[in-house]
Amino acid sequence: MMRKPLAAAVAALLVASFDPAGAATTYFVATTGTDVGSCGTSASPCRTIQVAIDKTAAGDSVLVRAGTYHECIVVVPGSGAGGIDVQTEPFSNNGTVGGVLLDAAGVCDAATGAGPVVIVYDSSSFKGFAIKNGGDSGVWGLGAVTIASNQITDNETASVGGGIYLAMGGNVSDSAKKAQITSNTIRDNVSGLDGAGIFVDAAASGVESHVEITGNTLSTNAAGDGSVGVFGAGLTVFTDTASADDVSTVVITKNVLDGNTAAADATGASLAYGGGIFAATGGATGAGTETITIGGTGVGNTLRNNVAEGYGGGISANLQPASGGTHAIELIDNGLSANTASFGGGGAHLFATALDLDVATSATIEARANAFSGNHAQGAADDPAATGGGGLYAESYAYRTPAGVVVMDVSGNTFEGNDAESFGGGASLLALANDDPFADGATLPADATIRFANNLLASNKALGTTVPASGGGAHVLAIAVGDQAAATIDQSFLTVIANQTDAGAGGLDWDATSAPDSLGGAGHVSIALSNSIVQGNEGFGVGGAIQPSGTVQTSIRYTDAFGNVAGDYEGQLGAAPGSNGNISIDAELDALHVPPLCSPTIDMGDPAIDPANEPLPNGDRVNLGHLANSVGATRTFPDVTGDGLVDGIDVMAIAVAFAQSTGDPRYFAAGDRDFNGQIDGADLAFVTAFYALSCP
Amino acid sequence: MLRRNPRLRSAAIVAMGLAFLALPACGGGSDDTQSSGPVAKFTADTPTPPAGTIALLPGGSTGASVNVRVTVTGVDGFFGAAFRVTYDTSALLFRGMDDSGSFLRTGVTNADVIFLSDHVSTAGVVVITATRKDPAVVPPVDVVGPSDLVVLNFTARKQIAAAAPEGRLDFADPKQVCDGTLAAPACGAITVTWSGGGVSAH
Repeated sequence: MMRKPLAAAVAALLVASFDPAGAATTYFVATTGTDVGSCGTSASPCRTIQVAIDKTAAGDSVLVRAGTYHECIVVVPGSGAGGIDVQTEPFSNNGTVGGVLLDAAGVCDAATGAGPVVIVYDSSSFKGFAIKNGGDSGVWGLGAVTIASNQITDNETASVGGGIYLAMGGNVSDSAKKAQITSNTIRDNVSGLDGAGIFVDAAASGVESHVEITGNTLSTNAAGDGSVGVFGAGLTVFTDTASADDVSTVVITKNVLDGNTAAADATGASLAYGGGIFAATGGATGAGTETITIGGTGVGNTLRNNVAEGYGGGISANLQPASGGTHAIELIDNGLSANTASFGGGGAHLFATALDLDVATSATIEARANAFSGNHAQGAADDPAATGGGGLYAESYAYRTPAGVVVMDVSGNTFEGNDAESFGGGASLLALANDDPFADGATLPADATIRFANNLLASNKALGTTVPASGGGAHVLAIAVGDQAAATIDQSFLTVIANQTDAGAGGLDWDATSAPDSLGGAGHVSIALSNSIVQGNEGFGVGGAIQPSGTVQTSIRYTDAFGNVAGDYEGQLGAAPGSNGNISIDAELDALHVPPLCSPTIDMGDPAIDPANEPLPNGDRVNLGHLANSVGATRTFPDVTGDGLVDGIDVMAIAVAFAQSTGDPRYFAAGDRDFNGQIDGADLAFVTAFYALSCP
Repeated sequence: MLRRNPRLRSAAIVAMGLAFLALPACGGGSDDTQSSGPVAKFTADTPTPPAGTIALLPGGSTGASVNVRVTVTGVDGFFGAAFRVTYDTSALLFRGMDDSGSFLRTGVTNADVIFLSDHVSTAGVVVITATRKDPAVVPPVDVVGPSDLVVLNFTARKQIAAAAPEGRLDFADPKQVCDGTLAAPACGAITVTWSGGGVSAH
């Protein structure tokens, strides 16, 4: 490295804004400045941002004053190592965003060199700018960078990441650092391939990769040039781990994705996934620990009006572990509305695939507490590509992978007012297990299981435009190939109400295939429903093309089916009220589909299930429906005397038995509302909480 | 630093209290020139209740506000009572229940008694509970003369003629007097006579 003359060093000290601690220097840039050797002070700012950046060392800052700059810059210390902070002065002063425009027109736009407007290197940060007209993305982040509070609009790339392209992997210097993309507005960017808004390559190899994407607004970005179906329009995330020791995490919270479009190829042969968000683990190898979290309790994302010419209008989440890896994708507390997919999963698409994974592998994909409303799955039922699922299409494939390795869990969600032109207005589920995937007789056990629990399916539609659709609430399909294969879809604690269908079941439409492998043994299919409310749907409440047999098992237990137009159960299912705990009575749900205090579905669930998840008093037995077996369950009316009233007579019954325990002379079970073996203040509190209410 | 004079505050509070006391009672009182509302009175069906009776008897009244005592007379082994009192909401407004003078409180702590009232769940019905708790700790009471269980306060919303149905206060089922024993799933019952009355307002 060439030493600067002493005089020059002194001059630099004089002209720069000097930190008394000697730790950092701030350089200034203004459109009125001059790029001379001594530029960079507040009084004598540089004219170009890059000149100021080139003066920096690690830990220094650059403040850019308001105005338009026609530059394409690289944010890295002039001395090479470490990170710097580049932000606009308006943002630094009062949080104003966009007062500084970096316009790449004529510099690095598509017609002039096609580069990114900004490249931010590891450990550096870039804040407060407006960036537009980049010919190969707006901003590249290489490593654990911070890209915050920028307006990134009207950039393009023939490749991936029209607005932001973030690459981790070998760019990351420190496992303890994370990349942050925060509070940016990313609009009207275009990519030939994936991620028109943001593309994240969160690979890890030797150094951990951690990415946080929070509070951004990504709208009307368009991905796809027609050459291939793209993965993601608003935000695309791939994690990957080269070895078992590698770790990659991505957290995506509080973003708004609105009106982004992911295109299929021009022929339609290659479809697109994820109009709003596309997320996938195992981008290349998938051998280590990978976690993608989309949302979280109270910090979910909003996805609306996004379009995928394929699957997952709002979100497409794809779990692709390698054997021995630990992978997880979670969708939590997101709101998905008015998104559209051309063939399946109008709101979201979940995909898990497992081939020859051993029991050391852990792969989980979950959708919890999301709200799916008004999403659309197009594609007619006679189109082979159409999978349906106006709200959600969830598919799990297990090839020679045993039970317990892959978990797909869809629970606690609401599906309301979604529609599909093929199958499953609210949701479409597919579990496929194959013990002989190459049909070569090399078989191993295979298990594909989907758990679908505590979901509300209300007012969804399976209505075709050219051929009839089926499964207004949900369509359920399980396929097992080979006698070592088991495909299971377990539905429990559902409320399925007022869904519409052209044919089959308007509530839950079931289908199954048990097929032989190359050795001749047929697979085992199990589709079960329990502890649910199925009411007021068009067609049958539960039915479909499924034909129970020796290898196709169905089970309906502890379910209230009532008032379904064609009948509560299609005949071949053999289900009827009065058997297996099933009942048929109006659940009396309120406008929000919640069982009121006196609903006959209270305490009618499977008595073998511990009701501890329900709030006290819970009657020591779970309820039916989507809120049952959860903290949202309707409490049990604490009618001690059984006269339909909770009043002073109940209170006095508790009072005279107060402090009595099991076996004591004045102990009686009806007064022990929490079933703890003692009549105490808690029991009295339950009764007084419902005091003067009646339940005739 | 400015320090405030606490005496000024005390003086202000006293002045406010005096002003409150000087306000005429709503609906009447001794000064007819300031009264435009009715003056209420409660008349018991059984002014002198015999033994084995729970009766409504008059308490004090001020203008449209009338107190009604729920009394127990001549009941041995009284542990508690649960009952309803019905009234016409177009004529009467239930204002609250006072249990501070209840004989159930004699010699026991607050933790040993339960008093509940609800007039919201069903319009025109006050659901009342007054009971001791845990007979192993606090025994039942042998009640002799008319003793106050609770006192109910109503306000007349309009003029009510004497003996008019709209002024009636009656006990309603389900109601029960508890003797402190268990007769699962309720407590042992004591048979009593229940006696109501009526509010008039002029």
